[in-house]
Amino acid sequence: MKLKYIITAILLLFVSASVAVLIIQETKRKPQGEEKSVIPSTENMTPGGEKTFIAYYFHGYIRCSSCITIENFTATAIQNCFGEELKSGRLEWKVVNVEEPGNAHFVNDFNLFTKQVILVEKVGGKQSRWKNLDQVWSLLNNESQFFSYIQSELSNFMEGK
Amino acid sequence: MEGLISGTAVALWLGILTSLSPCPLATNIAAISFISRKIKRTRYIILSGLLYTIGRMATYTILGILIITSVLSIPGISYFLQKYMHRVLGPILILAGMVILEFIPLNLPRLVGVERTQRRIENMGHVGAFLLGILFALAFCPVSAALFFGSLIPLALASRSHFLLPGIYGVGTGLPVIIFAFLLGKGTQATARAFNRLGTFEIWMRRLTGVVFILLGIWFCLRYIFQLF
Repeated sequence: MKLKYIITAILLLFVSASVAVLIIQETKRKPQGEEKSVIPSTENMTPGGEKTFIAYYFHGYIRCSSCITIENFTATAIQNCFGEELKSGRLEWKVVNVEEPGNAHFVNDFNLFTKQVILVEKVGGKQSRWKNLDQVWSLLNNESQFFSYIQSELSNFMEGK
Repeated sequence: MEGLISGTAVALWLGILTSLSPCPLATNIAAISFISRKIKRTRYIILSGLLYTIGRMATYTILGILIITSVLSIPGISYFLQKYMHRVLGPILILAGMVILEFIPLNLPRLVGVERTQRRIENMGHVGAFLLGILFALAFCPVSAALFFGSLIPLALASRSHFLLPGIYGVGTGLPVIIFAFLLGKGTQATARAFNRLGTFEIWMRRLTGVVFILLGIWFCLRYIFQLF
């Protein structure tokens, strides 16, 4: 009987601590000031309306194994096939935590509903178009198909298709 | 008509895929143990399973309608549910497990007679299954969010089936849980009968359910609140 009370007390303490930590995390993570949208953006202005590209991977604080696999597969596919573009700065690979202060606008900018890979084209530093690579979740279990999907989608996107 | 039939089949398959994907596994284990705990009564298991599925169906249907009619935006609601539901789930599962194990007593009035009180407790089990269906349906993880918001909602929009397809998806998410719960219940019942210990097995099944709830709740807290792994 005594053991039952001890376990009950420990569990109730654990629940209280969890709720307290949850509340503290939420108050700390509240974004400071208004979120700014990236559309239209004036960052990374390149002279003469030059086209540059960004491949984004968006995630949150909690990383599931499938989400990490998508990130790793995408990074490898891009580095293997677009090394020159990455070196020259024509293409950037960015991993963004949308739950960090200042990044929440990406959710609405790109209609994000889960962990996603988004391709963005910028002309003269201004975002001109973007594409959601929506097949990443269904190709997750086939590495070679995943790689060719990312590479062909990115090639087509950079060619303006 | 053909489009609707194929849409229905796809929605059902997406639901089954959701329930079998590794991410919602923890909630499904909790659901299976909760539904199958009354091994003496097959009817109870079936009814609880149905109510659990109805809870899921209702949630996805309402969510689907709210999104399709633009009351809710997909990014907003998807990120909100992914961010908060798993964090809330941990403490709720621990408390529910403690109630199942009678660590926290639920004092029901005994004035109405023992039989009525027993029936009331049984009905609470059914309501519990329904509520569990709602709660677990709202606990979106990246995989289920991709399937629901990324595949099912566009499908429902394209086939103009605002009620049917999200509901069918809900059935798909609950179907494997009912089947597993039923088989587990039946298997345990057969073993218990063989040993002539039906009552004892049921007590242990209830205890097991409580322990599963508490352990999963602790796991949810450590992973989603304390972010230890």
